Amino acid sequence: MSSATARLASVQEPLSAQALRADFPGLATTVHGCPLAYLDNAASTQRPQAVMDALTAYEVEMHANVHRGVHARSDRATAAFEGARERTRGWLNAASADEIVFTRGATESINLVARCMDGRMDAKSEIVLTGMEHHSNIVPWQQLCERTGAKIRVAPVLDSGALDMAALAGLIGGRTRLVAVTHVSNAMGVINPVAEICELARRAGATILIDGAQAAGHIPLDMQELGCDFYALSGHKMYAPTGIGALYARKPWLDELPPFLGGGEMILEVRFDGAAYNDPPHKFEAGTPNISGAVGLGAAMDYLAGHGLERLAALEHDLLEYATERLQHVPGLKIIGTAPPKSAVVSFVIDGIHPHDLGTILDHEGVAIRAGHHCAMPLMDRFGVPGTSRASFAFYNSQEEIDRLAAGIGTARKLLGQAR
Amino acid sequence: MSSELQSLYQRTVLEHCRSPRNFHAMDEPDRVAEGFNPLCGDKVTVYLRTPGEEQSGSEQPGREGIPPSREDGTSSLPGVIAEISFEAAGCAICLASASMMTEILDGETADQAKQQAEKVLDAFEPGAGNGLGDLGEIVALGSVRAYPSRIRCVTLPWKTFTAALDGEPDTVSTE
Repeated sequence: MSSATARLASVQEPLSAQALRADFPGLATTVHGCPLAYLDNAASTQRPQAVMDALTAYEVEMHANVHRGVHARSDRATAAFEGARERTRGWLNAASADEIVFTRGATESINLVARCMDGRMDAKSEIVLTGMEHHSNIVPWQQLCERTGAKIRVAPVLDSGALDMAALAGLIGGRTRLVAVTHVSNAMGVINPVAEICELARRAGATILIDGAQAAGHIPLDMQELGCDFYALSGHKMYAPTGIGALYARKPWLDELPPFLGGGEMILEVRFDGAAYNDPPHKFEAGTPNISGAVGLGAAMDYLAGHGLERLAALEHDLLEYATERLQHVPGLKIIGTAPPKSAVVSFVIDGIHPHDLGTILDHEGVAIRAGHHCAMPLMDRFGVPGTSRASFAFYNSQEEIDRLAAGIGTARKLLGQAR
Repeated sequence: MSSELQSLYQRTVLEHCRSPRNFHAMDEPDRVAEGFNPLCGDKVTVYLRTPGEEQSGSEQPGREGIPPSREDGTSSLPGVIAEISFEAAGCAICLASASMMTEILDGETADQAKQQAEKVLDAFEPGAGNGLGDLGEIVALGSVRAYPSRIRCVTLPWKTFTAALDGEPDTVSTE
């Protein structure tokens, strides 16, 4: 979001969560006969009507292939697609729209970088990760290490869920070629000091990638201030459709890195004795892209900016505080990850109640949460649990829904309380 | 509380979950296998005592204790399940399923036990009919079939038992 939009939004009326809720038709449904309380927003958010309308308008009025038609619809589709790229540039405050590569999501964004890094790694290279990474920010680097002999070093997580910054600073050194860190822990909601981490990496001459899947729809982002080399985001975690995401990469990187996939769109000229590649970002976007997804992503950003991301984030912070207060007094309940600052995620374990049983019992009350390892098995090992229950909030959630979560936990304790 | 929920977590299931039978490791088992559900991180280990088999001499339960398949390719099933136990980090459904399983299979011949396991696994296949009629207490877990994401919680112990019986060297997965 541009700072101008933020200033404009900040002088508007306080937001009504009830009014915002009405923008999301998916929330006005029932599950097992109960009104839906959707508290699984860290897994995927619901879509506002504005995004669905943008998708319909695109399909009806514009859809054709991009960048290659000589007809009006193709021109319109291209304008919409490139307009979404410019919208994403603005969202991240990137220097140029050429620094935005559309991908299927944060996972593909990270894989793209990892797949293009072979030439920069050798057996002496080190890649520094943290103990709270999602598997998407672990496995691509393991694969890169298998191909090149590079080694992974892992900065530990403290009991509070905070990253051990002293240990991280100690790990980043002369051999560090790349640091890959999540902005917000998907499993705990803990927000990492990414600007400080970027500075540590820069001083060591290391490349820095930030996994922003959990941050991009909740925290204002500014690539100029942050100073990272790469930033990955997913559309479906910020109210846009699935199957669309983006990779921000500083322009020199996109010029220098080899192409990711080969095919149409990414070439200038092809002969059987070789091919000349297109300029970035198209060099990294082989094949017909997810045009409608990009349009949906742009529409989601417009929706969020229209209400003011800071104001929406303030609503989410209130929900986080309310939920933390409600849940921390439940006997036998332990919250995993309490270190401020936090995004609106509460991950917890309860003595004698397995997360999957709790998930099923809550589902019967219409309350949707996530149960399991949250694709962060090393973090679960760190805390000695097979998994946790995770309630994650968006601005459209209410205190009443959190009350229902707490009541559902009470039901589960009554039902299973004496269980192992 | 809804009737579906009461049916899922019915008395028999909760009772097994609260006091699981044969819930312990076994010293020097003849056969052992580990099972893992990557969806939720649940783990089950099944131990078998099957007298008449040659001991490998291994002190610790583990893969070393698993006899190799016969070279002629015929089944290497042992004679009788003289003792069966398990350890698990799992949900109520998984614990109950494993506990019931040890009671159902204890003392069975290996052939019968394997057939029982196949019957249970078949009955919990997606789209399977109600084939739980003569499967003992496991019938109490029949409601789980209405919850596709929880079916693996029932089948994990049984898959792990089958792997132990067959002497499969790798951890079995529900995936």
